[in-house]
Amino acid sequence: MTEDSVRYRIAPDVAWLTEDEHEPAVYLAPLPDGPPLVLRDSAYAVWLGVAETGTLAEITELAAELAGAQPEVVAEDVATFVAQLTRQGLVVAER
Amino acid sequence: MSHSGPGDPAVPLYARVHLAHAVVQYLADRAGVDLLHVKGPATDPDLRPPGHRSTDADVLVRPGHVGRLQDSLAAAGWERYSDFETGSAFAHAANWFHPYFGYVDVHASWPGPTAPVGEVFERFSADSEVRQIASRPCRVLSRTSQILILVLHAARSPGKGDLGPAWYAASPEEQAAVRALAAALGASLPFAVALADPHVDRSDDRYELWRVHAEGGTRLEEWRARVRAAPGTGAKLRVLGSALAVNRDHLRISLGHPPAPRELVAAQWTRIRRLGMEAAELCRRVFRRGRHDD
Repeated sequence: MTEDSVRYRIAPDVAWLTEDEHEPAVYLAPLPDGPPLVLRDSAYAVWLGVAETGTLAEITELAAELAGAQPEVVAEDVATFVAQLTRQGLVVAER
Repeated sequence: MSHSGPGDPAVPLYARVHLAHAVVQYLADRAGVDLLHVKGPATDPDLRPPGHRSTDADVLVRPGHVGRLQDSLAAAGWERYSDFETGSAFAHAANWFHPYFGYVDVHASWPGPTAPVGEVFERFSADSEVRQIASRPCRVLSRTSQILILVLHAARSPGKGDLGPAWYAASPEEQAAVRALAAALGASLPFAVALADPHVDRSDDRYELWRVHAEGGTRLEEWRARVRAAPGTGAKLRVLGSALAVNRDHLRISLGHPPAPRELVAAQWTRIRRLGMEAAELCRRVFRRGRHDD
């Protein structure tokens, strides 16, 4: 089983919305107790990557595109943050 | 990633409202509660004034399911701020608060229709649609029902800010459909008051109550209108009783803590004195008008 075969998605018991008009942000909350969380900058890009793609490579590519950086530059940070979101139960990994 | 505390401005109010809708839907699903999301993010964007953002979440609950939803809210750490009887003249909603998610209005009915609440819910439910609010599937009203809800809301909101895009920008076909729905649900009177229709039925016992809410009035005028609108002697007496009794929910909110017996007594006297002063002022006005007419 390689990392490329793992698909990530947002956990089913998480509510979230994006703010695109002013400073881009994701507002999210684990249901039903919260607390609400705010994701900005690269964290915002990674969240959208999880929401719209699936594998770590795809998430990295989208996050890099949103950040205006090369994928290899952000890859390590993306992997660390996705792992953190997974540990917190906000994102689930499907193998 | 930053965590947000209670009232943290990092998560703006409108975002908390979206999240509150999602939380209530989650709790409703878990408790087998049927409800509809109304107003705010449950409304088509073009029906709301530009830049309008809600400050609380509103849900309309199937009759018979209200108790279950309220039990779920309480178990999940929500606090009831005002009850149905004390929340408004229409006794239609209880207001709940959560330190993270803000306010939710739990509607057992929507002020306006005279049709039985179960019939109204079924009608709204029949052509409801599913919309993602905070990425969660929530049932919302059809466009016709949304417009009706906004017009009826305007009937008890002096600003009537909702009516521009919701009603005046609606097509003639949409307006006809909304009028038909209002008539079918027995809501033609408040509908006419909201639109300042000169042909409104002023002889209807409920007219004054809607007029006072639409145009504003003194506390005494509102209570007189509530008594007149109450159906039957028993209901009128109950309204009179609640007019004289201090509103414990409002007192608790203004004090910031549950009122002590001494505070209750003081508030009760203040209320009776204020009603007495308003009654005296009303008598003076009527007397002056009588002399002027002579």
